[in-house]
Amino acid sequence: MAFTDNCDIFASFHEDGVNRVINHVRRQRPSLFNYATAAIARDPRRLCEPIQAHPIVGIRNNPLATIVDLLPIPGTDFGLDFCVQLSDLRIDFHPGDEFALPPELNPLPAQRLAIRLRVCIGLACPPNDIVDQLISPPNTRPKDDRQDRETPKPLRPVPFRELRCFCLDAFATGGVRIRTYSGKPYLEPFLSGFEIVDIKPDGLEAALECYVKLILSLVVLPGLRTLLEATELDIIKNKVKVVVTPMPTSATLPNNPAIENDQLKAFAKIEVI
Amino acid sequence: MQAVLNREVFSTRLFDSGALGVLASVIHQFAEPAIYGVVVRRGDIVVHTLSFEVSAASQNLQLDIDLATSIRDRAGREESCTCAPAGTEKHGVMPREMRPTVSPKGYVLFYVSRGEGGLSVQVGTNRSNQPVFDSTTLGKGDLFALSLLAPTKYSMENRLGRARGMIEVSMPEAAFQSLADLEPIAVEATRDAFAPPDVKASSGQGIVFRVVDAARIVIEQTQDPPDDEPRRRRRIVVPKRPAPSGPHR
Amino acid sequence: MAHLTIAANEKTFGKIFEAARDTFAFDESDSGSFGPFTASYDIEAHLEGGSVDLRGDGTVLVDELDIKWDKIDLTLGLNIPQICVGGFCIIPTPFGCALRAPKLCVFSANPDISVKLPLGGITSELSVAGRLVTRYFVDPARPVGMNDWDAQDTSPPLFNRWQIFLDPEFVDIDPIDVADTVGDLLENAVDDAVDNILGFLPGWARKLIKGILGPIIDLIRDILDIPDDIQEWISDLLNVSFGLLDIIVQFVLEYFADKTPITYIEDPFPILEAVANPNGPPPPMLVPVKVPIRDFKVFNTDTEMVIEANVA
Repeated sequence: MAFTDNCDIFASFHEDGVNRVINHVRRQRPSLFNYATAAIARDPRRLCEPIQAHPIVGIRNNPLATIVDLLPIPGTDFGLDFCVQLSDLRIDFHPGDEFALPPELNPLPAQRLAIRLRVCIGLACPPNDIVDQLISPPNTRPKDDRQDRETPKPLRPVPFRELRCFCLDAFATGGVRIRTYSGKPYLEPFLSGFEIVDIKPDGLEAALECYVKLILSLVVLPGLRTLLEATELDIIKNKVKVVVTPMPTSATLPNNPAIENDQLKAFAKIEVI
Repeated sequence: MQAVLNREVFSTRLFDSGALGVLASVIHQFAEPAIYGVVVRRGDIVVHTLSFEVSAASQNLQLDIDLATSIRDRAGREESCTCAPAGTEKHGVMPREMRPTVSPKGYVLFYVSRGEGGLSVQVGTNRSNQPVFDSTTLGKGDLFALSLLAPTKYSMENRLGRARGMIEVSMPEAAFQSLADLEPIAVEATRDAFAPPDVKASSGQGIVFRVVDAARIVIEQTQDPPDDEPRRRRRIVVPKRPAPSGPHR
Repeated sequence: MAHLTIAANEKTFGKIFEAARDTFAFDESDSGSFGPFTASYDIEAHLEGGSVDLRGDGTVLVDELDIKWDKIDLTLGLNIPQICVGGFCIIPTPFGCALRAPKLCVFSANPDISVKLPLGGITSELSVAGRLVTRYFVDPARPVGMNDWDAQDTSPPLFNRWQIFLDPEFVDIDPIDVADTVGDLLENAVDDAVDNILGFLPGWARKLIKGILGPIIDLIRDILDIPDDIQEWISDLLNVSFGLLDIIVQFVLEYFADKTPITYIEDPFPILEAVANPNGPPPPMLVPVKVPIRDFKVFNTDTEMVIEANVA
């Protein structure tokens, strides 16, 4: 049986190769996996986990972390510095034999991939002496609603000495789909399930899972989407002007892309322009 | 090799035994063994001198003297040149080893291979001041031979008498044969008549005048030949130039 | 198992090959002296058509490629014989000619003419079979120490690449067969050339000279020493005397085996394109993510070309 029985071009990625690619992405685009407020981003030594970046990041002045806003302290105009870092991200394609999934996600369904990652969160909690200085005097003047609405004040960072860090192991399941943006098809990973291990109470676990899942779904995984034609490794594009489109699924091609046998497979057809 | 056209071959309209040009030659037989000096003139001006020897020891029955080459090679020295080498010229006498020879039974043929022509020769020896032969006045036994190329009509006259005639030259209808193989046409020339007076010849065919008494034979083209093959226009293709890359201001 | 596997079916491979075929341009000129004449040629050709067959023994056959000879300008340099008048016998005798008029030649030397025969517009066929091979290419213009991102950004780019070539095992080629009208072409060309050198002469003079030269075709045969068929003679001149067949075969071999890859991929390969800096400029964009490719190999079955590689 030939690879191209049901398509013009076939591409497959073994999970070992994908994991190496992810490693390259982590080193060359660290801002996809590291999020921090400005004060921490400016001084990466303060992060919970050191970032092993490729030299090109420094040469081209690419950021090590994506800058996020301060965590507001309600009722004040103060905000806390913090960071979220995703490390040790590994993928396991179906049949899922690289690492064990927690019971909530086990067994790995067909056409799905499993992700194991480590989430480290650091909060810049100030010491007590600094907190005392931040207590504001009583405010006896009535609020001028209109003035407050029109000119929201920026949050002021709370001074801190060091981050309070903790790391959690997390697992996720998901898949890869083909989505078209600006007329071009992309292979885009998506999440279905997410589980953080050993957090109590359950409500806290659920809340944290929600938060991290949102970061993964809205930021990290879309950042990993690749042009379908790029996955054909340019062998066509370098030579011929073509339009690469995914093969429609059918009885002979039930899944495109397909996740099976430890591989991610994509099937495409070409039209010469 | 770039070849230079001998234009006079096609442009000469006047053929004069006393002022030789291309396509015509005069022939004289020098019966007395001697060293002869030749003075070549254009009109009254001496353009060159040369010499040859008539010798009983010579087997050569024909000596061709190209009056154009002898003039042209006064500075250069071709093998066939009959000019005197520099420093040896003395009354037109060349060193013996360079001097061409001819038998007393042979003929000396004077001709012009190229150039404007108008040349005459006076040939003499050091025994007498009088020339033995003067091409401006041909005598008994002398020959005037020529080829006429342009297919048209020519007048012929003997400037030393009243002889007049016409020559009509036409292009051969049949396939060309070697011009050299065409039988020449013989014409007898006296002071007062040509026999025959009307000659019909093919283009390039030889015509030989045999002088009976005295003659200076002049043949002149009287009309232009028909030009049924007009001059071809040459097409020269202009090489393509690249299109301009910017707006033309 | 290889980290990456790419397969292209025969139809797709054919499209890729067509691109390599379409950039083929043969442009060659040469000259030679062949005794009584000189000859030179100026030739341009391109390829069209052809059917690609991936074979079960791992070879690729490209059959019935048309070589379109856009230009075959064959220029012959001939000396036409001296044209002379005179030389007739002035005094004939029974024993031969006693006195002969001198010959007077129209030109100072044998005139050269040059005739150009435009023989292009014909087609011949070639087939080429070979195996797909890979080669790692480092651009010699790339400065030592240049990083891969700078190499990608230069114009033209100087990135390294994995290239796939068709390494020919044999080339079958038809001899160049000029059209059977070449005899007329040559005759007309010589006629024109003779007319050109005589062009400024009056018509009667041209007629006379051409009459002396005789039929042009006989003149050509004489000068060029053509025994029989002009078409065959010219074909032999091109194919054998000039060795044009060998030259183009060598060119085809080098073209596919050496000069023009069927395709290539960049190494390291940009798996993620550059995106906007999430923190805003500077810099405006983040670098593309590039992964190094190793152990790149290619082979084909009777239905598809397969590339395998690993991520370093």
